[in-house]
Amino acid sequence: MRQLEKKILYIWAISAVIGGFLLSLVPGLLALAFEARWLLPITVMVFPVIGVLYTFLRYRNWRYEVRDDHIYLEHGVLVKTRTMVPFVRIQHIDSQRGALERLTGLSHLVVYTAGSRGADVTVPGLSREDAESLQKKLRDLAIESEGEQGDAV
Amino acid sequence: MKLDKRSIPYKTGKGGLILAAIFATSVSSLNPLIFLIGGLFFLLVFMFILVYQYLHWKNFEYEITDDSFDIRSGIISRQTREIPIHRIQNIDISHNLIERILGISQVNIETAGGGQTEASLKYVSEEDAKTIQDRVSRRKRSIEEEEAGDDQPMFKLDNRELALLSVFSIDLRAVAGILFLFSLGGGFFTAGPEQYQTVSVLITMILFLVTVLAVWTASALSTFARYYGFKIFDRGNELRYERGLIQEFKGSIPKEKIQSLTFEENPLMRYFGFSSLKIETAGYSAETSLQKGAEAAVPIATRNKALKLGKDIEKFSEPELNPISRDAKKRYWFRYSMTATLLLTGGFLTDLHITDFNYVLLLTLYPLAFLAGEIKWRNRGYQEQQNHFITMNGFWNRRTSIVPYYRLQNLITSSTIFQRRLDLENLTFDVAGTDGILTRNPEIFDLNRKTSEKLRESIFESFRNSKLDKK
Repeated sequence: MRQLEKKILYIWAISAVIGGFLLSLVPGLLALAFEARWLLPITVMVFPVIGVLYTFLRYRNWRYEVRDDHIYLEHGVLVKTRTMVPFVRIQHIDSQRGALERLTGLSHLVVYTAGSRGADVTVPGLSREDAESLQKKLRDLAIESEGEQGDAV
Repeated sequence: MKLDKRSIPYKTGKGGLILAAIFATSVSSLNPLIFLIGGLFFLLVFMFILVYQYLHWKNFEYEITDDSFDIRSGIISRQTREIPIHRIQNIDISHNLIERILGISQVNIETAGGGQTEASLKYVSEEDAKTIQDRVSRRKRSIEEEEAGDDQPMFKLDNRELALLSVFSIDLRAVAGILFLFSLGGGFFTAGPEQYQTVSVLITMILFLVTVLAVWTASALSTFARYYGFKIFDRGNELRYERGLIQEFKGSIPKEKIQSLTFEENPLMRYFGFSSLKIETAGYSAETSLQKGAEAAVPIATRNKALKLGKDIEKFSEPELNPISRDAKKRYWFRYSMTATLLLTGGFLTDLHITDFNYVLLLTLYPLAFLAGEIKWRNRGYQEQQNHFITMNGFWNRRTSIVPYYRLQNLITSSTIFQRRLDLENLTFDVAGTDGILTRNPEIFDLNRKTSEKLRESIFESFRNSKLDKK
């Protein structure tokens, strides 16, 4: 099974650290309120550190595989999710690149189906070439499998 | 074809009403001259709206060709919309009281992609609405399977069921919630000063009864009006339904768009042998989501009648469900005991700091927690049938879902960190047309992980085989 590009760690880590700092405002303010200034460096560090650890776990748990008639995805830290998306159910595939992704040469794919919970299956952390080739491959597989069907609903 | 002429004054009136309200509230207190000027201004705007609506009507045309529904509209910028007939999922006709008096209806055309009403005709005459529905469904099939003259409904809500529906329409959870709040209040009264005890208990009881009665009556009346005259007809490749006393609902559902069937009952219905049936399709918009999937839902019927209707629509066999993992009980007992502990702590603290509170009473919550966990477990189950997958969940609102394998969109298993400790997993059979709030995917919770893995493989295998059979 394939893992994501290691560069995604940077993007995830950055947002985890920023989020962590924002979260640490609460305990930080509490520490100030209770006249415990010595606590401040600890409260400021705790959440970002947890965020970085979480990012590593997140990367480790992300796997995907293109199988004979479906895509298989595995991801999650607190809630582990495994998804099977049949090719014949793929409506269309988007490749998207956010600002940070463009800086690091990454993309992510969004696979659309008609379902609700799996309605947009996202595969992050793909290199540009991988994203393009995966997009093309899935599109071909989706069209090929739809040969037997009318509409994919 | 054109929209009905009566839509011009009706739409003008609707717009004008709002204006009139604004005018009346803002100008009424000022001096006569301002009132006159304001009045003239209002009349001018009203005229403007009238002219606009006339022009809109004049420039609005729709046509049903062999393979598309065409709508041409627009006063300044012309717009042509062509909806391929085969993309149309449902044609919904509705009219409220005023529209009904005027003899006009609103026609909504729904398609699968987009999740919105694709097109809306406001407003056509009632005969035209029926014509549209007929013509579109006829165009959709090459073979005309319409049984002309056969008005035997597939399902008809009889008077007893309608009456029972109105009575059963109280939300049991609301009553339970009120009961709970009042029982907490009981803790206050048994510990209070003697002289006020009887009076406050009496007042509490009266308040409780009045609240419940009011909620009950309101929902009963609204339900009666909505489901009066409910019928479902089998029209070959589609189902037609109609219902409503004040606001009439009519529509058709192509059978091939039916995603799944859901039987739902509350404990009271179950005890008396009743159930409800929802026909889930893909293609309802968020706009009509208040009655999403419930447009053609059978709100109540005897269990046999509902089951028979379900089997007529989807050919499944009598459900025989397998239970979920026994370890799941541990999760539920823990969850409910935690809630009991929280409440007990709350009661203890209240007694300590706020007022006298007989928190010891709350200890009765623990055996209740045990019972609740047991009940929750008992009301969960699943079955793999020949062509259908069945799931059941819930006690207060028990949902049994019947879904054909070929309707699978995605197959998802997930487990939280707590579930992983007990080696449990949830399995979701993702279908089209669910939004996770009002309609839910067929799901099984807390399966043993090995069972879940085997189940995942066999469901997907059934899906593969079903795809080959279909067409």
